[in-house]
Amino acid sequence: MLTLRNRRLSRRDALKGATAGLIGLAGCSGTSQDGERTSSSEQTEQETTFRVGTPWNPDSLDPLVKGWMFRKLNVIEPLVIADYNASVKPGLASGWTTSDDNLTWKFTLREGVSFHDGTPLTVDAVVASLRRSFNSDSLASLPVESVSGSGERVVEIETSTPFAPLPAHLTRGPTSIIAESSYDDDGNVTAPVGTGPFQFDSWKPGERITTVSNPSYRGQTPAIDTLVYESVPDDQTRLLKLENAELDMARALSGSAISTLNDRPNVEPVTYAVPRSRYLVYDTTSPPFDDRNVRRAVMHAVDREKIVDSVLNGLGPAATGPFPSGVTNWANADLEPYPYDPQTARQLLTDAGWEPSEDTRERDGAPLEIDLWTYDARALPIVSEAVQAQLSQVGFDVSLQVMDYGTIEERANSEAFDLVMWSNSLLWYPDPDRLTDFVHSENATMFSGYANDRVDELLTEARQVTDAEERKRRYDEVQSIIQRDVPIGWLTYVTNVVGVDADVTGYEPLPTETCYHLENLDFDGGENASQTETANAQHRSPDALFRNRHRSKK
Amino acid sequence: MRYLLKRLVTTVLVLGGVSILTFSMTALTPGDPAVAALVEQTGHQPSEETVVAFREQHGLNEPFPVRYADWAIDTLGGDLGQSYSSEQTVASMIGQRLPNTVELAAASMVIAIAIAVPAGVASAVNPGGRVDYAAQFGALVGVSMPNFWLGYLLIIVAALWLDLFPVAGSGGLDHLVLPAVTLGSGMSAVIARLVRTTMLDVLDAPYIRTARSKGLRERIVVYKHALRNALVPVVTIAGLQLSYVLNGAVVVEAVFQRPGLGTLLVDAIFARDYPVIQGVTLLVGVIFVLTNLAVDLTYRYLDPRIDRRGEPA
Amino acid sequence: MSEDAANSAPHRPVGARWRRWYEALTTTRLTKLGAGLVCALFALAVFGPAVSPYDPAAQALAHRLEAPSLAHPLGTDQLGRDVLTRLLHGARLSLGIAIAVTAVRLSLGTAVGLVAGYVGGWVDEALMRLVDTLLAFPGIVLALVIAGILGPSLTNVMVALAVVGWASYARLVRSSVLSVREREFVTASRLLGRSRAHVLGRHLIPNVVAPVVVLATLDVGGVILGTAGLSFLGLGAQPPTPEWGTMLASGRNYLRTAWWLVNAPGVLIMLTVFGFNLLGDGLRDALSPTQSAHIEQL
Repeated sequence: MLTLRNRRLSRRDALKGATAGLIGLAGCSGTSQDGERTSSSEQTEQETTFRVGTPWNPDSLDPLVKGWMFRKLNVIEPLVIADYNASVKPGLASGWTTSDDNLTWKFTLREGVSFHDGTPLTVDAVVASLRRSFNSDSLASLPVESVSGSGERVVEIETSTPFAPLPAHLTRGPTSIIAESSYDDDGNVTAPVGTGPFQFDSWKPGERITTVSNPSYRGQTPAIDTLVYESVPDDQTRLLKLENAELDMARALSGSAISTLNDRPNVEPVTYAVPRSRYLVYDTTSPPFDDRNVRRAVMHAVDREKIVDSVLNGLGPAATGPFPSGVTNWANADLEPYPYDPQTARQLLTDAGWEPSEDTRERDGAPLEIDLWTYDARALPIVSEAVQAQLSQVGFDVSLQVMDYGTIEERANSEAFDLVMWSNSLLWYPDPDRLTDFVHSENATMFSGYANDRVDELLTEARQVTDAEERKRRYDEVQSIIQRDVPIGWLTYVTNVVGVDADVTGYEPLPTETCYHLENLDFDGGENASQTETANAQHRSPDALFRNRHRSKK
Repeated sequence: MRYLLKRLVTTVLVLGGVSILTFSMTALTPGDPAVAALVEQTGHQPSEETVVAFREQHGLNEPFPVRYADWAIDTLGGDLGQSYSSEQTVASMIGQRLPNTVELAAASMVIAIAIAVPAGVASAVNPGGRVDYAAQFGALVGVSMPNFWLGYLLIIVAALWLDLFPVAGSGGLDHLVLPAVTLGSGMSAVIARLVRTTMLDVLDAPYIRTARSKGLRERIVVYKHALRNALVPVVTIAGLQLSYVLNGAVVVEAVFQRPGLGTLLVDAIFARDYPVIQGVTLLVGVIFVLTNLAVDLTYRYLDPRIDRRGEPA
Repeated sequence: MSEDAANSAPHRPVGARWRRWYEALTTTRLTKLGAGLVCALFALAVFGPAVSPYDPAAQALAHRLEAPSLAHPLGTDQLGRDVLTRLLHGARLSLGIAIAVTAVRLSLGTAVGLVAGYVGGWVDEALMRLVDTLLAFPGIVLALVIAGILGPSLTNVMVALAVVGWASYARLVRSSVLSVREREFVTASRLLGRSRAHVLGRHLIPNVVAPVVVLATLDVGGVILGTAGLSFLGLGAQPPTPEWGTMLASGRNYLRTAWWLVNAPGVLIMLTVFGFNLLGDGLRDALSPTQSAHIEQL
C-alpha cells in the first residue's frame, strides 16, 4: 500500500535539519518531543499513520470519564452499538432478551472475542467491567439493580423498574467493556484495554492519544497502522492543519470550511445529517418567559430558514421538533413548525402585556430586556447573534453573552436566567428516552424548569413498555405537548462537516456521532483517485441519505 | 552585602504577597466553584449531597485564612493540589506543559536577539542616519503589532503559501519556529533599542576613543571592542523580557494551539479550575520575581555604580 | 527627574510650559507622524460614526462576507455588517477604553506614589511592597486571571487592566517625589510653615507631570493591545459590540475566505498602538532626556 504522506514531501522536511541546528545552538532541548514526533508522523513504506483532529481534550484514560472518546476511536466496545439508522444493534453481545416482567435482561456474549492484552472476553470480565460502570456517577441515574453471570456466555442485568431504554444506554462509552488489566490496584485506569480494532498505545494528556491497529481483531485488520487523535480546539486551525497535511481528518468544522475544502485538491468535505439540534432553553419559571405566549413570540420572531441559508451555509435544516425526521423514525411527523411571522410575534407580546415603547417594549414600566447565554461550539455564537438581531425586530432588548458551557450549566441551574442557546445530540444514546433529559420535571438536565404531569407520566410509561409502537405513540404525544408549550425552542438541526484527505475512501460517518469507524477506511494513493472513489463510496454507503460529498466546485 | 540581605528580605516579602494575591483572587469569584467543578467533571448538574461531599473533600468549608494557610503549606511542600476538571494533580499538569513554554521562551529569545543585535548595532554606528531611522521605525512596528494578528499572518504566509512550517501544534522543532518568530519579533524591538543605547554609550567611552585614536579600523572598534562590552548589560536585560514572553505566551499559544502554561491557564480560567489557576499564576509570579532578583544581582555585580530603581539603597 | 526641570518648574511661566509641549511634539519626523496618527484616529473616532451611512449592528444576511467594494470599502462581515462602520465605532470604543483605563491607572498610581514618597516610613514600605507584588506578575497574565474570574465582559476587562497597571506609575511618581523632596525650594516652603498639601500641590505635582504624561502616552498603546488580546481570548466585549479584538477573533473563522475580516482590525490596532508609541517616544526624548532610561525600565 502506498502511504498517505509520501506524495507530499514538503520543503518543511528539508528545513527541519536547519531549524534543529538553530534551536540546538540555544541550548534548548526538545529531544523527547522530537523523538515522539518522528515515530508518529514519519512513515516507512509499510506504515500508515492517520491523524484525526478534534476540538476535544483528551484529559483522561478512564472510560468512565472520557469513554466516549475511546469509543469514537473504537478502542473500546460496549455490548450494544448504534447503527446507521440511529438505532441499536449487537456489539459485544450477539443478542439479548428480556424476561416477561421486563426486569431481567440476558445478553449473550459474542464468541471469539479477545481483549488487547490477549485475554478472552469472558462472562466474568464483562460482569466486572459493567459493575465498575454502574457503580460510577456517570451512570448513577439508571435503575440497574445487579449484574451477574449466567453460564458460559450470558450476562444478566436486573433493573428495579422495567426499563426499555437499557440496550440504548449500553451503547454509551462508560459502559464499554474493558479488561481488568486496564486499571491498577487502586482502580485507576492506566491504559484502556478494550476489544476494538484499535488498541491504546500512548498519550500526551491534553494533546493527543496514539493508538495502533489490533492485529488480532476479530474482523478485518484496519488499513491504518497508527491512529492519532489530536486535540486542536480552534475550528479554523483544524481546517488549516488539514489543508497543510498536518491532519488527515478534521472533525466538527464550520460550514464556511466547505468552500475552502472544495477549492483545495488534497482535501474534501464530507457532510452528514446528525440527530442533533441547536435550540433555545427558556427559563419557564421567571418573567418574561414564564408566559407561554412570550416563548411562542420568540418562535415566530426567529427566521430559522434564513439563518440556515445564510450564517450556517445552508447546513441545517431548520428544525420542527426535537428529532430530525430524515435521520430517525422517532420524530413525530405531525408536528407543525412555528412559521416565521414577526406580526404574530408582536401580537403575542402585546397580548402578554408587553406594550411597544420607544425602541423596545415594556410591561408595568419594566423593559423587555433579556440575557441570551451561549458557548462557543457548533456555530452557536453566530446563530445567537442572528437571533439577537431578529428578536430586537419585534421589541426584545437582547444582550448576548458567550461563556463556558460549564458556567452556563451551573448558573442556569442555580439562578434565574432568561434564554440559553445550546446544542446537543438528541440520540447520543439511540433512544427517545433522551427526551427525559430535556423535559421531565425532575430528571431533566436541561434547565427550563418545565413541569407537566402528563409529560412525566408519558415518559415514565414509555420507559416501561417495550413494544416500539406503544413507545412511539407516547413519545409522539410528548413531542406534541412540548411543541405547544415550548419550554425548549428547536431552531435548527445540525449537519456535520468533516474534512478528509482526498486519498481516503470508505469513510461512512455514523449519524449518532458515537464512533468514527476508521477501521473501515482505505487509501488510494493514485492522483486520480478521488473521482472514482466518490462513486464507489456512494455505492457502498449503507445509507446514502446521511452522506454527501460536496464535489462540485464553485 | 547589606544590599544583598535587604534584597533577599524584600524578595521573600514579595513572594508572600504574590502567594496571598494569587490565592485571594480566586476567593473573589462569583458562583460556587464546587458546582462548577462537578458540572465540568460529570457533564450534568450535581446532587446536593455530591456538592457537600466535594466541598468537604476539597476543604472548601473552612474560613479563608485557614484555607490559605493549608494551601501555602502544601505549596511549599510542592503539592499544588488536585485539578477540579481532570483527575491529574496541578503539579503534574504544569509539569507536562512547562517544557513547551520554556522551549517557546528560549526559542523566541534566540530569535529576538538574532534580530535585535544587528539592528541595534547598525543604528548606533550611525545615529540619526537612514539605517537608524529604519531600525527604530521597524522596532516600533514590531512592538505595535498585536501578536495574535502577526501569528495568523505568519500561518497564512509561511505555512500555507510557502509551505515552510507546520500551521500549529507542538512536537518537533519545526512547530516552534512560527510561534517563536511571533513572540520574538515584538521582543526584539525592545532589545534593539537597548542595544542601540548601550552601544552609543560604549562608543563614546574613553577606551574606545583611545582605540580609535590609535588608528584601529572602525569595524574592528565596533565589533571587537564596543559590541562585546555593550552586550553584557543587554544580555542581562534580556532576562527582564521574561515578562513579555509570559504575557505573549498566553496569546501565542492560543493562536498556534500549543499546549503550554498559557493555554493551560486560559482553559482553567474558562473551566473555573481554581487549583490550576492558582498553581499557574503562582508559578509565573515566582519565576518572574526570581528572575528579576537574579538580573538585579548580576547587574549590580557587573556594575556596582548602577542603582537601577533610583531607590536609596 | 531632570535637574533643570525640577529647579525651574515653579518659576516657569505658563506660556513657556505650553511651548515646551508643542516643541516636544514637533521635534522629529517620527514624533510628528505619531502625533498625526493619533490626531487622525481621534478624528475618525469622533466624526467617523456620524459620517458612515451604516448602523454597526444592522445585519444584512443577504450580503454576508462581501469583498471590499465602493459601497463597503472594507467589505462586510459574517452577518453582513459594514466592516468600516464597525471599525469606526470600534475606534471610539477602543480609544475611550484605553484612555479611561490609563486615566484610572495614572490617578491611582500617582496618588499612591505621592503618598508613599511624601509620607515615607512604614506607609511607604507597605505601599511599595504592594507595588512590588503587583509588578511581580506579567500584566496580561494577571489581568487575564482577574477578568476571567469576574466573568467575560468589557467592563471586567477594563477593571482588570486598571488594577494591574497602576503600580508603574506609583513607583515612578514616588522616586520623583523622593528626588524633589529634599530640594531647597521644598525645604524652604516647609520652613515657611506651608501645609503638606500646599507643598504637594505647589511643588511636587508639577515636577512629576512630565514623566507621568510620557509613561501614560506609552501606556495607552499597551492598554489597547491588552484589551484586544483579552477580547481575542474571549474575555472581553460581547457581540455585537464592535471591539477590534473581538472582531479579529470572530473573523478568524473566515481566514481563508474573507481576508479583510482579520486584517482590517489588525492593521487598525497596529496603527493606533504605533501612533501612541511614536508620540510617547518623542515626548520622552524631548521632555526629559535624563528620565528616558528610567521610564524605559518600568
